[in-house]
Amino acid sequence: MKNRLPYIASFCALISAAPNAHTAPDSDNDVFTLSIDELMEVTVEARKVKENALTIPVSISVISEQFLRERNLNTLLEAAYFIPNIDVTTVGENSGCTHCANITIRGIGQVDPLPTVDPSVGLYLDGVYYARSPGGIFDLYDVRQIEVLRGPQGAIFGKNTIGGAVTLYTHDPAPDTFADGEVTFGAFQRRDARLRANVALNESLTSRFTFTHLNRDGFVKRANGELEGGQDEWAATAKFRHQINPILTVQLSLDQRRINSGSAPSILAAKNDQADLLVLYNDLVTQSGITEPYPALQIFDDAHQSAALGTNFNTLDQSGALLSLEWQTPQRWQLKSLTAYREFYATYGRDFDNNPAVIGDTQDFQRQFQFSQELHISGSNLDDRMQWLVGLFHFDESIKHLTDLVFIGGLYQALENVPGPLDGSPLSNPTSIGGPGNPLNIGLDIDSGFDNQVEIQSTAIFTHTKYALTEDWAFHLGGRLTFEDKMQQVQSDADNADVILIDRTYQTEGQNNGGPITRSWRVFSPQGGIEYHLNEKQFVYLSASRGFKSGGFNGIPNSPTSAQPFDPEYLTAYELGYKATLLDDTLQLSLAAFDMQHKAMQLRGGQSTDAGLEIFIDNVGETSIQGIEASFEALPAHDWRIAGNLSYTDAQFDSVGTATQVTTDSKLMRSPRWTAALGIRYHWANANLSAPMKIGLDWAFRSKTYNDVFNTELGAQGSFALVNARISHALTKQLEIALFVRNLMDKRILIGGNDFTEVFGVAEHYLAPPREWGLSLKYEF
Amino acid sequence: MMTYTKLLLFNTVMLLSISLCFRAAAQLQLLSDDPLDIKMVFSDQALDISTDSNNLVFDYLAHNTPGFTRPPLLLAPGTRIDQLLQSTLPFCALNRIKTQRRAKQYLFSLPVHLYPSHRLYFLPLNIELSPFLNAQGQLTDLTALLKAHPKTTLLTEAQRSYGDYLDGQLSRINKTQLIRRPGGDSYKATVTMFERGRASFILTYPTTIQRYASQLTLNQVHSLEIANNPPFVLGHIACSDTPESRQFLQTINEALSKLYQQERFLALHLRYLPNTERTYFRKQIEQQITKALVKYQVTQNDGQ
Repeated sequence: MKNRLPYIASFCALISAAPNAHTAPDSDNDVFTLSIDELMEVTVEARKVKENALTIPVSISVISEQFLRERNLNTLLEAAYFIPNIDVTTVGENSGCTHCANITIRGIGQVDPLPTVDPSVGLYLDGVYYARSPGGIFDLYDVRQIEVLRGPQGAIFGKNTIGGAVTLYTHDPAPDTFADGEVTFGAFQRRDARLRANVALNESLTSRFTFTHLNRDGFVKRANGELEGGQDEWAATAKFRHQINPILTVQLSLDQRRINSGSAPSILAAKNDQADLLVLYNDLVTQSGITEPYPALQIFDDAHQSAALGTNFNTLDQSGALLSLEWQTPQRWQLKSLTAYREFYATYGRDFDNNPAVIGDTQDFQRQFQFSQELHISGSNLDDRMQWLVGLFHFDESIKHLTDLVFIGGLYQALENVPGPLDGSPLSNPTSIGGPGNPLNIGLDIDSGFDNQVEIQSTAIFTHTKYALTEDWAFHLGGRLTFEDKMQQVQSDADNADVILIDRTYQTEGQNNGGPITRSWRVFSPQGGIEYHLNEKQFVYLSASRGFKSGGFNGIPNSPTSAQPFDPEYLTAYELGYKATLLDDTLQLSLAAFDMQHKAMQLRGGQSTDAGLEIFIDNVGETSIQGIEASFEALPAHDWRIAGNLSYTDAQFDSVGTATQVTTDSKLMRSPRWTAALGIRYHWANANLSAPMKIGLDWAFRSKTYNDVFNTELGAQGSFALVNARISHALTKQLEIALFVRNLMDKRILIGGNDFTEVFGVAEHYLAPPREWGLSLKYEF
Repeated sequence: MMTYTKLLLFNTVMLLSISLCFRAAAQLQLLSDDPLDIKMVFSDQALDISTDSNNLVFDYLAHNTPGFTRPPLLLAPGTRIDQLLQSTLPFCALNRIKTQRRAKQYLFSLPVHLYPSHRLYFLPLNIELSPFLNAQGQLTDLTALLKAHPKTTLLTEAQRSYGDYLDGQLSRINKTQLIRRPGGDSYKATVTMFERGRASFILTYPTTIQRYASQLTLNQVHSLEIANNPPFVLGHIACSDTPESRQFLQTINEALSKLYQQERFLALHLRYLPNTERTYFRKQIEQQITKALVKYQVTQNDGQ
């Protein structure tokens, strides 16, 4: 019964809304009547106050609800191909997650969704920081706008925004009563339903409800008939907005979401039956006779076939609440308070050998609780020549994360079952692995578990001021001082040897290498710049900013040496930009050139010791990144609209210190040198049609992308172009039908890839969906 | 043009309907959420109570029901099985527990087997358990046990009901102490995770531990019966409500009515139970069979 409450609430809201419902042409909900012949002025909150996107000195892409709808883009993952210089994946390097947001902007991103390492791009939902990667990819239904801010945003948004920030805003309850719904059928048994209702309860109290249920089969077929890449997800939101008086508004937003799907769709891309560990295992079991050696690995010509039988799950159970308050002071200053709570339980796992043999299975269980309170006040003085913002922020987070890794299942037992060390040395003084009780065997017990508990408290004060020196010249200055405390408790063990590798918990406090690991930082993130307005429609800016990504801990330590905290990394950026509205308001143009210096990068290193290979993270990397971003939107003729963008990024490691995963010749992962997109929309009006037929064609290009830090060619994605198409028609004033095709050219597109052929004999590819079609019907009640 | 678009819409709806009708005419399919069932059911090998009892039924039908064709057995996750059993397509699933909610949603056969209910398993722990046990050695309060030992964790299978009583207990446990493992392989995977020390406790069926744990674990593992929890559960074949499924269930029920009177039905249960529990279970099985048969006869008579 508990699970049905959101269904019932949404349904009741829809029904109660319907009798009094009417289409609301002026509401933000009415997508049928949006004009194609006008370039809208886009308001953004990139600096926490409402401003015109074309008048702020930031490289920003604004993705409107209309943009998403016209392209049938339902998630940030799908939308990212059409946004310059951003890369989004759910799988990171090693997770198999389907709902995790691993976002990279300008080459700065996150390797894995491990909660002991923070992200480099901040994700915000209705102004609230979304701290962890799981659940970060969600259906964008009822999202009003997405703002993608490129470059460090530390002064305003705070920690973990050195690559940029992605802010999503959903619709607030509107003063009208209306409802609409949409069903979509399509490839892979797709059956999606989306419903929303906006109910004005009285003149001052309004509410809004949404409900989505998304269901489809996967497209990678396992040997046992299971599928990967499917979707079984529902979400519900409820919002209540009370306009207490003309200057005070309170809003309560509640949301819940559940996902239950298989692993990210993956296949075996290449195999090597003679890989080091496979050969070792096969020799040992043949010698000891305890079990059969691995059969030859199965690889298929079919691009969507896998022989996997192991781990295959992804789930998310997430709830959130936000209480926001907006008050206009007697001085006409705006005070805003955001009090938010969110919790989730996320699981994700994968069988990375894509074979029945237990060569590699990983599974993660992550539970997170976060509370945040933000308070900021903004206003203007000196006849509006000075605009300012001051704010306070507190964030409290608790995470429990269990990582369970099974590599070469049975290897330890095989080592224990051969008569003696493999090099012939005596078992009493072994110099090689092998033999019962040989302590060196523990180093190859690579079935491991890592139990992490992380507590984070962060407090910050921030300010930002823009001052107009003359009508043409202005400068802006800002800064944020952050205080952060983090604590990690971690326990890891080698399963088969039954050895606890490390125990840094309260239970071992006072012991050598015992007790929780704690670390505190105080960091100042400044920002400043000047801007010159050539006229009312054109301006140039030069800005400088510095941000930080918080320090953290090694989430997979296997020895005291490797269980070390690391410090924040810093990024300083300089940006020169130009924004304009030209040709009688039929062309909007944004250009930005940037130069970024990334210091104290958190890179993985490794060293071989008696305990085996010790992996640790240290602040040793330095990179330089330069590039340009350009985007435009134009109205070349009546009923035609063209939008496009281009980015070029040149990134190189200047130094890698003791890191072992990269060299100064390495390329940054998930950072294509070129990205480009072009979209054409045409409204075909005909005397026989009651409304124009809307036709859209979108093309996106990405140059070669390395999906892993090792820059393996097998794991890389070569350059590709993606083409999507959509045609829609309003059959009546209330009913719209749309037919869409994604990945029209049926390109093989990776969302991740690895090459473990040398050691484990397998290379894995995570796949984006192949060509898929869909038919949507939208009805306004 | 309006006509064309309406035609397109009409054709789409027709295609969807045809596709559904085509599927509706498909052959009845059996489902299980346990990969080992796919391997072992319909085999000649003895494995455990649920597999052996399913094999007994299908073996009986093969030899005694002319024209009976064994449906194909497919693997599906538990949540998917729930959806399919509520559909209008002919699907049946093995080893389903009949609850009040489920009885309203789909059809059930007579009990195919009876097996011991969930127990709490743990490998040697440095924990004093006596405050949480009653005179019969049963665990009186799972929630209190976990609360008293906040560093311990409990491993369960996600998206699976443990019955009203245990579900209530689980809902009161501190969330950070619960690890819920989803996935179609969760029976085996949870036992494997437990063996690997990923959790202090696991809540599972004795048959599951017996099926998937290594001998080493079985030698070391301890378990507690849970007070207030039914001591056994009845496994059924559950089906969606279609003419094909009703016919299939009728055949199954007729076979079971005969098998209940045979010693081998009792024997396959007792074989997997400790000697000390056999007398108690024999009595329970006989009682449950009688109860089920009486109910079945009433239903049959009502139907006539």
